[in-house]
Amino acid sequence: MSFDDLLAVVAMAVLASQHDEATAQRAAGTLPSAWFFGAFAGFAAGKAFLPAGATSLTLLALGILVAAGRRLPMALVTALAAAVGLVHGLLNGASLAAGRHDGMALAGIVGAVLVVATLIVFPGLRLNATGARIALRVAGSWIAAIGLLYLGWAWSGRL
Amino acid sequence: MAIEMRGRERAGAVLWALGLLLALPAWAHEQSGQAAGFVTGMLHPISGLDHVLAMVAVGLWGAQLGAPAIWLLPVTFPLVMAFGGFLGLLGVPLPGVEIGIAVSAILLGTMVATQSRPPLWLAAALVGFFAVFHGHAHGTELPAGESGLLYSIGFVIVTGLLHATGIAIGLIHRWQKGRIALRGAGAMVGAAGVFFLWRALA
Repeated sequence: MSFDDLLAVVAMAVLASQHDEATAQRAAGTLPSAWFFGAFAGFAAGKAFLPAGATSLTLLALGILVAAGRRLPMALVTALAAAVGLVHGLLNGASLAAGRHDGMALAGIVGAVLVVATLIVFPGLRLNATGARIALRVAGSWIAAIGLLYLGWAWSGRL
Repeated sequence: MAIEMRGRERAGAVLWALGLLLALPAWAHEQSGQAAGFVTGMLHPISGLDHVLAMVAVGLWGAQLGAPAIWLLPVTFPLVMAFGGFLGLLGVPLPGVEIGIAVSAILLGTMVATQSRPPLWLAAALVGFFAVFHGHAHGTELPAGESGLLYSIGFVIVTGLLHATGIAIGLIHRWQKGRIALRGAGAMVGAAGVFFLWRALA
């Protein structure tokens, strides 16, 4: 798991915590599940079918949504969690296969996703203070900015 | 038992504990050679006084304008600055970057010194316009062999912290003498901007 993966989990978890409890729970479950399926597929296929810079787009999209702070329909949040999990999982799985790791590392990654997401989503749901909500949105804008710069690095072939 | 858990909650707790155990091998590999990128990125925004002053001025102005500008301006800036960095990384030329940064310090300093209260969209557009120059100047300068992602993370975090510094200083706005001091600080930023402009043109 690299820093872009970690940032994506944090952004997805914050986005989930900006919604109601049911939406947040579903996103918190969907993200590690999709991550697992993506990683398994990437590991089995030995390739990711995606450029490494694809994760910059998930950071950019999630960061903008967190910064906007709007409530989205449950289906959309769930679909986002699934898409983010699949993209990052595929890349993780492919790089694990390339590095000749065993399946245990794959389980470790999915476990880490589950723990980090849980540790943010559920305390995040309890944040009611205006200042705390604004701080989360500012963090979203930072993540979006990092994603955009990362996209620049990927695009210019200097990753 | 003092704490009673329903079946579903218990299953959730077991799943979570299992996840915690499984997470251990994922963290067990180190990523060497990346810390350098993070530190370079963090130091970059504070390596030029023109950039530092303009960032702090954004925070000062936000604090002076109050909500919602106090957080809308610092949210706008990193995004548009990243866009400028993105253009720089793609090799899109932007003429007069140094001049743009100097003019941004002059204008932002003047806004604080005169306590200007333009409509929110205009303030955000002004801050955003100059953010492109700041991002473009900094986006491309990564030493070889360092992580672009970590450089970007350090760069964005320190820029955000400079805004926070400006906002924290700007909170003196609530006192009468603080308001005068704040306007004086704006005038100093503007004067420094004039100096940077002279240096960029000379």
